[in-house]
Amino acid sequence: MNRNFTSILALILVCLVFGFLTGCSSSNSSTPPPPPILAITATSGSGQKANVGDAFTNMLVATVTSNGTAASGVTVTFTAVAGSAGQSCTPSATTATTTSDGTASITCTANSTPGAYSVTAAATGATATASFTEGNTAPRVFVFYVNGLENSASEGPVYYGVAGAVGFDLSGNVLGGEQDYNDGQNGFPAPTDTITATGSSMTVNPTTGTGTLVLNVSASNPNVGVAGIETFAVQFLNASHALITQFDGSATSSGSFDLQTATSSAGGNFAFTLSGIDIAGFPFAYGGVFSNTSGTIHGTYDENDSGKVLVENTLTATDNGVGADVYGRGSITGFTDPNNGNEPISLVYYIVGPEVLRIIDVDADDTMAGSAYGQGSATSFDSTVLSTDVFGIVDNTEDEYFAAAGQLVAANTAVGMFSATFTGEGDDDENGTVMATGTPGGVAGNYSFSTTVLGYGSMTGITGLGSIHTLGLYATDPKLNLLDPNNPTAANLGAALVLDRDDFAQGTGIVVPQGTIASDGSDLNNSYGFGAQAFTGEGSWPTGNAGWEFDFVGQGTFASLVFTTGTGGPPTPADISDPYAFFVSGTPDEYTAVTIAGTSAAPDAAGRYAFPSATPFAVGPVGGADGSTVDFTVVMYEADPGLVFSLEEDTFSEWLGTFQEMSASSLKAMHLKRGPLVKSQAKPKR
Amino acid sequence: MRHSRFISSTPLIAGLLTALLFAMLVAPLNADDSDSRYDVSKEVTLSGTVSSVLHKPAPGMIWGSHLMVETVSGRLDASLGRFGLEGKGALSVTPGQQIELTGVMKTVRDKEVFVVRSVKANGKTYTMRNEHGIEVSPLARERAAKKGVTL
Repeated sequence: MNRNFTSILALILVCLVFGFLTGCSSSNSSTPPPPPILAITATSGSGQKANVGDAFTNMLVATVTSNGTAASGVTVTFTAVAGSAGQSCTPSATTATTTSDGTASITCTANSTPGAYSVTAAATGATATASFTEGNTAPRVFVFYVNGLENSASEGPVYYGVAGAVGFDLSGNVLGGEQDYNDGQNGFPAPTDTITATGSSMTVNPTTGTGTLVLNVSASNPNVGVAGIETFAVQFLNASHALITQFDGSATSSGSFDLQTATSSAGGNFAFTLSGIDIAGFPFAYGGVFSNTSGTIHGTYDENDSGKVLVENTLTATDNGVGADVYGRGSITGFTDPNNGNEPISLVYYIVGPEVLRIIDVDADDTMAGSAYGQGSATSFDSTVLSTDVFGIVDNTEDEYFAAAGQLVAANTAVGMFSATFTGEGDDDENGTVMATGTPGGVAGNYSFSTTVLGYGSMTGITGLGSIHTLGLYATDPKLNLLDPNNPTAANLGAALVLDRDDFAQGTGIVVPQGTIASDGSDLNNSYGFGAQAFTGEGSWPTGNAGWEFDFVGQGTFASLVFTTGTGGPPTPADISDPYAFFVSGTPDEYTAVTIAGTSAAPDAAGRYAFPSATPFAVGPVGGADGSTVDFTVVMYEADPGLVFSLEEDTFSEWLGTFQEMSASSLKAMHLKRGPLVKSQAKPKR
Repeated sequence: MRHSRFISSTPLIAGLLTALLFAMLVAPLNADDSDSRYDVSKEVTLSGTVSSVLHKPAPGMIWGSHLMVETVSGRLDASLGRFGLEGKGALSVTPGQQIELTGVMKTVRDKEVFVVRSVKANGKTYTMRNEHGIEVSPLARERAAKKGVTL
């Protein structure tokens, strides 16, 4: 027993001594090597875009290094981080092991929701992760913009604008989208509103092109539309272009809805106009030209701020680009308001195509909406920009002072000459007072373009067009269709944008070439989509602070100067947005399937058509079969059979609108969801 | 009983009367339907008694709200614009009330109308239009008030 105890004690002592000695030996001889430093980087495959449901073209490759040397056999975990709308992709594997070159790769397949998001890669033992930025795209995207009058909860009727993009699958289902909405005072600007697939839809009658677009932004902005649901009446002219008006009682407006053909690169030379309300709450508008070279913007612009006109302002700004956005949304900073202490103006644009941008001012206290149009490859714009043209100009709705249209005939133009004169005829309604009524040769003036600033010009000394005496003139690509940018085969391509530089109002508009006019009116024997933005002197809602705008879109035909909505029988596809109760006093509403009919006189030599009082442009009955019919005094100026401006000139209202020729075959190829046939006049539920 | 009176300062009365008479006399010649421009150099100030308040224009009137005002020279159609009587901080007057108006006389649709830039009533000045004749909205009024700016 004692012997055993002694033996064990000796063994323990030997072990302790040995252990002590070896421990000292170890600590004294060398420091154990530090753990290897593992790092992971996204080597390739970031920045890709794929249509929803498709795999990205390139693999997502991550590289792992250990102390700077490629590390093989390391497990890498790939994780898709979904975006706010649920956009993501499904990895081919959640983990992959690095090969001898240190790389681990996967493929990823876009899910059903468009949008940008990230995929992270984490390596076992590495403290940081690598990130890939990817984007899911919709097979078809339409860019839209409207501006008009919103019924603000705090201020009553006030100007607002919306620009955005909405993506569709090939069956016409809305996949998602984004928009920027700004009324300049209620705090609705950026961050961008997300349009969700759930609750959004578009239905279109493929025969008439009339339909309804519903956009659900309630999750990100429940203040707009009706609890975040915006409804628009749409009128397609062809598969890539529609007129739209907000149609839900929260606001009314007019705008355009166009197929997107590019999502990046807003570079080149542009002309632009914008209008809205400034930081002081007054109406204002801009017009000008700029060049965008690798994001550096230089230009010259004019401002009309509620009658205070500043011209030839220098524009220096930065195009921050689109980045990862899949809807072609970019931003511009550096723009200023020279009439308000050079207050910064923050702009967002949505790319329709390489030469068309829809632009919205996203500041909290001011807002504008408008467009920029490319100037193509032109290196000079001289007096030959104008020849025989028609124009349409309408005031900012916040001011609602005038609408005008007419024909201009340039004289003494020549290549290399930068100024010339013009004559023509026009109609102008100013607050219900008709100031010009289409007197042949009654309009005259001068115009010129800068010899140094590309496409920057003006029209001065204008007579015979009411209070309109001076216009800014900004030349556009002569091959660009300003109203239907995806339709380059039309006859009315180019020519310029205009800004009213008088002190009584601040309208914007376009000038487009005019073709030969058939004297018997047979040019108009077509099917048209039409729309207009109307200002009224007799809104009746809300009580005590009534609004002053209504808008409409629809489809109809001319036959031997007789205009009827629809194709000869019910339904009659015309939708009127009347949230300020112009048509039925005290009763705001949105009217569908309204009948419009009238017979025009044959055109004069300038292409001016007039609906005489015996056969007026009659709208109604409105509000039911026993509702009232309103007879409007309407004149039209034809650019060519594909485009006709309409101008309404009554004492109680004025509008500027267009008739744009329909392409029925194109509509049938749209593959959009067919809307329910309207069998009788119906009011949507409010 | 409706009545009109001039503001108290005698020299000012004389000046205003002269200006008013001048405006009334020359308006049909100078103001025509060819231009909506508000010419601030032709501004005059006059006073009178409100005879009626029109929140909406009567047939033939230009858009917006109007006051019918009895002046020493007769009844005047005073155009206040769309926002003159609407929205927060808007002018509120009643028939029989004495007011002072600053504006420009114009002829529109063959009728004389006094395009009002500002109204003095209830001891306060209400701005209807800016110096270019652009109407002042409730939003613009509110923002000016917040900044302490006089429109």
